[in-house]
Amino acid sequence: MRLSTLEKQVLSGIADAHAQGGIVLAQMARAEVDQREYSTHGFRTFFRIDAVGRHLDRALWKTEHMPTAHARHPALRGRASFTLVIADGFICCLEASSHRERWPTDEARFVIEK
Amino acid sequence: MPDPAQRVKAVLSQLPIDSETIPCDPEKADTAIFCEHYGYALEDSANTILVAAKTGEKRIVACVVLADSRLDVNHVVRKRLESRRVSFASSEQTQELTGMDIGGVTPLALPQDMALWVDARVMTRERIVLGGGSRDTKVVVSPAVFEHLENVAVIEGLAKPIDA
Repeated sequence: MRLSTLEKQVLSGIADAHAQGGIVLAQMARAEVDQREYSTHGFRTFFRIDAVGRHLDRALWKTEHMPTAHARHPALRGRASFTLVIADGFICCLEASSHRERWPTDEARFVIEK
Repeated sequence: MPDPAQRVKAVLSQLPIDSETIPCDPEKADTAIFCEHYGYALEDSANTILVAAKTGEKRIVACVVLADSRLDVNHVVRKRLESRRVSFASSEQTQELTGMDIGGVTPLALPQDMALWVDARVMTRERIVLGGGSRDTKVVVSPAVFEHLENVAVIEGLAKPIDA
């Protein structure tokens, strides 16, 4: 299963803001969706990726500082937040949450905040 | 390190979020006692807990969870920190790292480079009670405050409800 447009936009936004963003983009290009679970307030997407390419350097990408992005949507009063989980130097999971609000059905209307 | 309560005041004054700082008897600052004495529900009160990786490089993360739940240290935190062993910071470590005493620890005055993980359930409340930086104050604020802080990640399942 391929990454959705929103997932790609979020990962690109995270990559833009980080020194190792090129590695994230390269991993994103090779990644497939292993599993995507929706809940009332968001989704969680697990990536499947071969571990042969460059991995993120833990010295530069500390595991406790999980990269995040935010996005606006006309149907949401607040911002949606996205958290990228890295495992063993590879993108592992993207979590999206609109917190108290129902996750919008029309994901094409999300605008990633720079 | 400036007085944490003053840092809290400074941070809140810069955010577009309404908040209320309430005085608290230091003897009643621990969450369960505070909630019972001052009439707040446990599910509206959030604890800030420091966890440290015990293997590999030094990694500390502050976790915010509702008082009616238990931080999932052995699964979620351990896995995300990529550490075989993690443990709660002692009260002495917490004081040393944050300048705050247990019962007054607040996510609003953490060291700048400290990661902050917020359980997703916290974000579902209308308002939450947080530590005020010292045992003699608490802050009542919308969880939207976390959208305005640095180094914050909202995590599903970071804590489990205690009666679940």
